[in-house]
Amino acid sequence: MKQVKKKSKAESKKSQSARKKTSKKPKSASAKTPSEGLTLATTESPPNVRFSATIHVRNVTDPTWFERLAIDRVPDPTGAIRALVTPADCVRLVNEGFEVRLDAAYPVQPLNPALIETKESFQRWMDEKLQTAKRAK
Amino acid sequence: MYRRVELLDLLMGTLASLFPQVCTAVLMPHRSVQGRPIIALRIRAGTGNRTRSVLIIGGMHAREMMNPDAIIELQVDLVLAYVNNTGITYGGRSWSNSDIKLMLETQDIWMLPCANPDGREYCFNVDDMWRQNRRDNPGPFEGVDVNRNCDIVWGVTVGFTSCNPMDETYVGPDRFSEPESRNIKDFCDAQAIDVFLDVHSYSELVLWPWGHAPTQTTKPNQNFLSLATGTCAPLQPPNHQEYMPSADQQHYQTVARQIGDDIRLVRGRNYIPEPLNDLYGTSGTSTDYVYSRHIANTALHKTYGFSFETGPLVLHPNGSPNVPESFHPADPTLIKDDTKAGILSLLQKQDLCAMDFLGASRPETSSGLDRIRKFRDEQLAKTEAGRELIALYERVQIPLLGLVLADESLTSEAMSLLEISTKLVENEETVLSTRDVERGLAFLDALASRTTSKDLLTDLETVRKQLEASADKSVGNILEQLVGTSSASTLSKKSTKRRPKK
Repeated sequence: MKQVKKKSKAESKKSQSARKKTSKKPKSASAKTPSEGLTLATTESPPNVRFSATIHVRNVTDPTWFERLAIDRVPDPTGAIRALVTPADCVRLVNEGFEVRLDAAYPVQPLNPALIETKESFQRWMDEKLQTAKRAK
Repeated sequence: MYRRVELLDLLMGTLASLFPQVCTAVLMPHRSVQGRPIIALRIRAGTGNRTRSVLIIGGMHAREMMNPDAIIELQVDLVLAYVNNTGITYGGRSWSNSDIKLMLETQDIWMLPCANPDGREYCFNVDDMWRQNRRDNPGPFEGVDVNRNCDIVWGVTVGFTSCNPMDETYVGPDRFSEPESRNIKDFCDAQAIDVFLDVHSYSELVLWPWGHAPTQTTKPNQNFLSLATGTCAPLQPPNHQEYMPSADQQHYQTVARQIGDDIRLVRGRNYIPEPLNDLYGTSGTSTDYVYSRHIANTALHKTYGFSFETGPLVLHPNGSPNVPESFHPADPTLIKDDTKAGILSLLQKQDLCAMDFLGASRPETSSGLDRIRKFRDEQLAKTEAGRELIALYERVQIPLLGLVLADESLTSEAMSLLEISTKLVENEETVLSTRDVERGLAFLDALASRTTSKDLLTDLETVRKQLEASADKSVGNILEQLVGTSSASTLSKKSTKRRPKK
């Protein structure tokens, strides 16, 4: 979990604009959250970093154990239970007895500007596409 | 490169302005949570009768950023191909001008490229891994997963579905609480949508219902109507299996496999066809919802729901998944080609029925077509041999329809044979005469002389043999053969019932 804390701190400034004011009234613990672990996390702020992680359980008695995780699962080439997790997710999952292995951190940040089409390039693309078109009758 | 919402909307407005006889920009019933208009484009060409409608949406999950771009690029390609009378090619897969004409003149194609514009803009401006809409929830966490918010087993925490606002798969405070998901419901209420496609990323999959549980085809009473919803607890009973008629399951499997085949031709990517639940458990998804509507309310139109997961899982050099690059790769061009090919395949394979098309100008055939569909769904789909026949029909109908429509004499003969066939099925005592069989054989020979496709010729030859064997037999006998014997003998019925209709 050191990695969680370290990265969170390092990235915290970047994501200030993404955060809502934490002075907002915290969600009630009596809301639709069946697990106490979730109650812990509802007082946290929105994440400033996410991790790609695999989640493990030591003694598998229920083959569908991973369906109780309430996480955002993503595909894994080895068939592992992989998810994008926030620091709060990590805390909750560990508290619930799962083992969380982090392997990549993704700071909360806008899409790389180099990947965003500009109006000018869009206009050129559209003009090029449409210039050969006959008008519909 | 990824386009902001205003550019997506600008393009649809431009198409509607330049090609008003083909395109209409339509404002969806509800604006986004933050008040953005949500715009769809209807593509409708020609003046003929339309028996089908299809709705294609993208961008429900904001960070899956390739798909809105792919959908608007497909809009441009379709419209330009139609007005210029050309075909469309993506990599190694091509559609001819007549294929495009057929798609656009026989159905209404509704495309909603960006169903969640607030989320997309948030990805551009703040968080490129944002998934949900921008609902201001009570408490510090924002957003609802609009693809967990639909009224199908809503609020049941099956698999990756959560009732906690801090989770990215948060279902929202109530079913259809979000305007972005409510648009899907209201749109389906207003339009009789036959086919629905929700385009997501990533994993290279072609998916169909059910998402909340594995599918079974034998116990109709075990269905979602008996399940408790809004419980914020796991599905009860935990071993629930959801019913789907075997005909529908067969249909989904066949169409999804064909879509995968077409995508593979583009550049060799292997999209796997499977039910949603095979990926992981979900509830409240749009794809399940649209298909569930006619079951929950028999007065509603039946809609086949599909979902794509476009693009591959990208790995870091150390072998671990590179999640951002998987959701929005630096160069998504080739993935978008796969996606566009998959959508075209769906428009062609799933949303066209050759019999409907030919029968549209002959109202007297409609009751016979209904009987054939009923036989297909209630008898053929329940046997192995019958399912093979259905697959054969769905495999050959579009290529054969293309051959028929390219020749006026063949079109005329196909319509006559369709009429004969629909009359035959009115009475099982009726005997299929040698004269009618010979006429059908001549038609098959004419089709065979117009194609060089080995697969098509093989199918035509199979049908031919069975048609020959059906002479002077009663319709009842032929039907029994179709359902009860091996595929070789069952094809005779298929040929007499369906082949002439192409």
